[in-house]
Amino acid sequence: MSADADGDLHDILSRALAAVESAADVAALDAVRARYLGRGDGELTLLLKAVGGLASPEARRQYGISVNEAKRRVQDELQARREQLEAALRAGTLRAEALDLTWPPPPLRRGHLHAVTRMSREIRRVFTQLGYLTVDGPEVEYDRYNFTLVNMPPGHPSRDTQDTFYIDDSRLLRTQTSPVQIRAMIQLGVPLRVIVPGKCFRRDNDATHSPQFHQVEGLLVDEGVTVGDLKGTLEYFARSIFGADRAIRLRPHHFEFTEPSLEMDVSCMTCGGKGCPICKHSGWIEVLGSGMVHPDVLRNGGADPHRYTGFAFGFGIERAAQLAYGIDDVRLLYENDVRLVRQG
Amino acid sequence: MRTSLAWLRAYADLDAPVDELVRALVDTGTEADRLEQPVVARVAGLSAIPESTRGVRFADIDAGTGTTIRVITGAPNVKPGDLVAYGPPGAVLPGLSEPLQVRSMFEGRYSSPGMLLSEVELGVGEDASGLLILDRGRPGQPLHEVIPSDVILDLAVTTNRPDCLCHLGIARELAAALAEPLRPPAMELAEAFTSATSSGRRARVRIDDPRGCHRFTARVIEGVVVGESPQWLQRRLRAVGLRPINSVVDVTNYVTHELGHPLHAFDLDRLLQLQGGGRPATLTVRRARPGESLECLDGETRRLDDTDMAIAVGDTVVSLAGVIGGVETGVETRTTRVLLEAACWEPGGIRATSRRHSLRTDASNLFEKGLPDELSPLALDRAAGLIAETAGGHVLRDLIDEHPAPLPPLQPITVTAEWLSDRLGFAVDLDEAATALARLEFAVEHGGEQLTVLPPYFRRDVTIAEDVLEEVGRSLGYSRLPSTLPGRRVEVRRLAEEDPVEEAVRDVCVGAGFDEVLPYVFVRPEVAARVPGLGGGRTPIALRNPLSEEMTHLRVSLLPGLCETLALNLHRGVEGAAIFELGRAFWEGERDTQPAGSTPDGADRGLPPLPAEPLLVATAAQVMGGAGEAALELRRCQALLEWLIGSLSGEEPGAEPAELPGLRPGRSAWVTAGSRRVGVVGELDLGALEGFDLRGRVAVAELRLDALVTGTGRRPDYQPVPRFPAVVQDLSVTVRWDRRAGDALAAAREAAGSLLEAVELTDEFRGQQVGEGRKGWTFRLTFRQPDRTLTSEEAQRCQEAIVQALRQRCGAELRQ
Repeated sequence: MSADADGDLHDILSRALAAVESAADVAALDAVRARYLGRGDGELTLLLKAVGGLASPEARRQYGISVNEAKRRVQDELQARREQLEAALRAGTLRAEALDLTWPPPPLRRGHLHAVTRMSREIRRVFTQLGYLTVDGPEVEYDRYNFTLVNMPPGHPSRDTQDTFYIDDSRLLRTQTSPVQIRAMIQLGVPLRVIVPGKCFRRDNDATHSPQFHQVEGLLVDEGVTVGDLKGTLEYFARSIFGADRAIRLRPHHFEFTEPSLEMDVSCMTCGGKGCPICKHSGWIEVLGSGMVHPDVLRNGGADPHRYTGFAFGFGIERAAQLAYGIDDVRLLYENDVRLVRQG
Repeated sequence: MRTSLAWLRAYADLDAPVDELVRALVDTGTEADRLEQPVVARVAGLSAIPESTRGVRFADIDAGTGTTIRVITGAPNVKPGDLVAYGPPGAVLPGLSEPLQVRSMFEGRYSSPGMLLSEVELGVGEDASGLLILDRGRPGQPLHEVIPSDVILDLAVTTNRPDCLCHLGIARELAAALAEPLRPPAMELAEAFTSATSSGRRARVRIDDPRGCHRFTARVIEGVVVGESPQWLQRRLRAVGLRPINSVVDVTNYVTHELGHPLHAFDLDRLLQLQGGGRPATLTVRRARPGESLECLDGETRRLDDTDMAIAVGDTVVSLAGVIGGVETGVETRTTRVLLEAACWEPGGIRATSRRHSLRTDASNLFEKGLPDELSPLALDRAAGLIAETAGGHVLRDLIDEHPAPLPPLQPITVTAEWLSDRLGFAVDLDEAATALARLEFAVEHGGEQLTVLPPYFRRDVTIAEDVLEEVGRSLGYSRLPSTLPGRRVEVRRLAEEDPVEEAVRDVCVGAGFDEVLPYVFVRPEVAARVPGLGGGRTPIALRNPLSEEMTHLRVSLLPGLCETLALNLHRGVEGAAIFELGRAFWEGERDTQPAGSTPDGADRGLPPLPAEPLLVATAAQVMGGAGEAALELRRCQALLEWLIGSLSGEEPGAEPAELPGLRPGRSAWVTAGSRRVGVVGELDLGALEGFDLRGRVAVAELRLDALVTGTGRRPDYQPVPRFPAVVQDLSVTVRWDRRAGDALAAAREAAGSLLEAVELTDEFRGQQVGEGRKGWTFRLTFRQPDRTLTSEEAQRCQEAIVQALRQRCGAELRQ
């Protein structure tokens, strides 16, 4: 064993370890590995090959052990350094790609339903649960169905209260969804329960009226239907839509197609019934008109009024939306300002 | 209807608090609004108004609201600390015909919310020289609790109850509700007021048109001294918003509001002059003749025609019957002889006259509801007696009464306890029902388990058992009704209903980023023509009586309404709105079948068919950017339509470029489902943008839904997922610049056959490398054989077939 050879080994080992330590990235590390441990011409590899030149077998053995230890040491250091460098790299990438999630995200482009549609769906859901079908009829309707067949023959004073858009003598824009009562009875037969959401038109335009608005009509015909059934149905509807703690009140009223006729009030959502400017200090808000289907109307729909009774109700969807969603000016629902729609 | 509580109290002991009376009215079917009432206020301070030269001052008052209210008063007699009566805005006062308001004064520099009140305004006295100073009360307390003063109610009477359009009628309802006896006024003529002369010597009546006037009654009163009415009468008139005129006219107005039957007083001497020859005046009741006219009591001269009923003497019309009298023959101060009439007019005719002349009077309002003819002589005698009492004079004997067409008599109606209970839903006690009906003056026969009732003459609205049911129900009180849900065992005849297709479509549009709007269906033809969409080539239906010049016709497409909505939003500063509507248009002459539920009697057959009402969905998106941004929106609209077509009908969506009115050439197309054109898509052209006053660019699309939907609730057609790998190849070609992708894709699909699973255009490029006037396309082709692994040779053969087809049909050249 020569002092020279030992000196070389030490020298190479310390240079290799220094090179590992100073390697700045994985590529530099690979170069270090090639230089010292390269299979053909790595410096440590060459030392090992040179072992054969030593004279004594003992010296060869000793020297071989030393070189292999040095190789292993360099390999371990290389591995450790590699892990170190890779960890740093990962950390750098994570840092570079970090997102500030407290920055509000860009909004999804999404649309919104009009409040009238929203309310219409709520109403439909309530009545679907009670077994009602949803039906509709034409918006341009015959005078007969809109008026005559629901007990408002030509010249009837109630026609005056519904300012009507006419196309000609027999055709008009329906002023109410009630003509569908007749059509539904004829089409589907009795017993039946239907609701009719749809557009209606009246020749009226002021702070609380629009020439185009939406109504829901309800009609139930069966044997043994009572005014109490009407009350229960309306109560179920009103409390579903306006809140479980609402009270309802029925008042006598007058409509041509029902007898008796009733209007329903709901206890004021604003003051809870104590009285406020919204409910004109009465504690009640008028919501809908209803009644027991008039025998003439049943007959016009092909139902035998001696066997069947029924009830009908109708109300404005805009009004319901206004009350349930707390929209103070009903005109907002007719304007189509998307800033209102987008709140839906 | 302005109603005086003090007046109502003349006919029954209605001592309950106002709130209770209001509730009783509401519960029995008369809507009653509690109006703002005058309250007690304490004057905190007074200060001069610099601009005032007549001593008008600010008064700061405490009206119990917690804050000081500053009103303006001209009264000289008020000083700080005084208790006064304050009428807030909205208050309706017995002595003022209009409700109080926030009054702007001194050229708008100051305003007075309501006012401090005098005796006259409050209807409690005649002193108008200063404010009523109270000797007790606390700020905020209702005035009627402090001094006996009237309360004005605003009542809404339903159209079937003309008997309630008067104080006696309302008092009757209240008395019945509160179980108090009714004290109607004396209607018979007192012996003391009558004279021995027969009225027939002064006047006669001839009814030429008994359909228009089924009863005419009249009385003659002589020796009248026309002057001011007594204070009590004037006060009641003011309380209902009427201005006192003279002692005769006031009585006719008074009785109108007391009994609900209008009357008219003529100056008899004027009538006799018109008649001439010393003969009794003959009042002819007939249709007016075209060309006749009448100077009416309101000062207007009206031209009459044969829709109007007239009262004439000789050839001179003296009254527009049932609506308004003539000036010439009206009662004045110097009138000494009066002809008083009370007649019954046909409601439809009165309504037509009132509408034609745009004139609604207290009289027309009553007559057009239909009055019972029994009431005419009663109202007449009541008024004749009052005139004799207040204006002096005596009433000639013998009622003038022409009654050529009495109304059919009311019929008795029988109901049973069982029927009433079954209909109402609770057990009805017949005794209780009988008592309630008797209070409403029905003649009731109670035998065993049934009631037979005859309505009083003034209740002609009660004709069928259901009407009696309503009377019983409202009298017993609807609060007694149980709340039940109807439930029956019904045979299965129909299956569960699908959700309406509208809901799914709206959800898709909302998900795609469009906000829903609901514009009017009304449109002007010029506006409709700007971008007629699917309505192209169709004529909008005209309304006979449009509401405004902007709303004369019915839309044939949803697009104009959406464009107007975009414009409205732009004007309000909202840029970049993307909106949609789902609704119907109206296409005249295109309805295939009568709508469902037509009456089986065929009565519609003679009528013009209803228009088709196609169910449409349309979108419109406005962008402020240029062509690129607009193209993006256009494609978004198109994608939405294709999605809807695919999901609703399952047909293959496509586009067919076309020049469409209102849309930019080169950026508009029909949208197709299979081979049918079911929609349009495009960008508004400059003319349309300008027409709608829109800025930027606007992409629109419209789709006819009812053309697609073959059956709602279409279910997916599930197939097994592929088990063998696909071969994916890219193919680059060049074509002339104007070749269409749709044609190329179709050619590729046809040429490749079943192995081609999908073909996509992944890139389009222009530039030097593809040459002048040409463009390059890259297709991505996916080939697959469902039952085995495809060989690359098979794929290659397929691709060659595609290249061949592209070459032949699109002039494509393969790009290396």
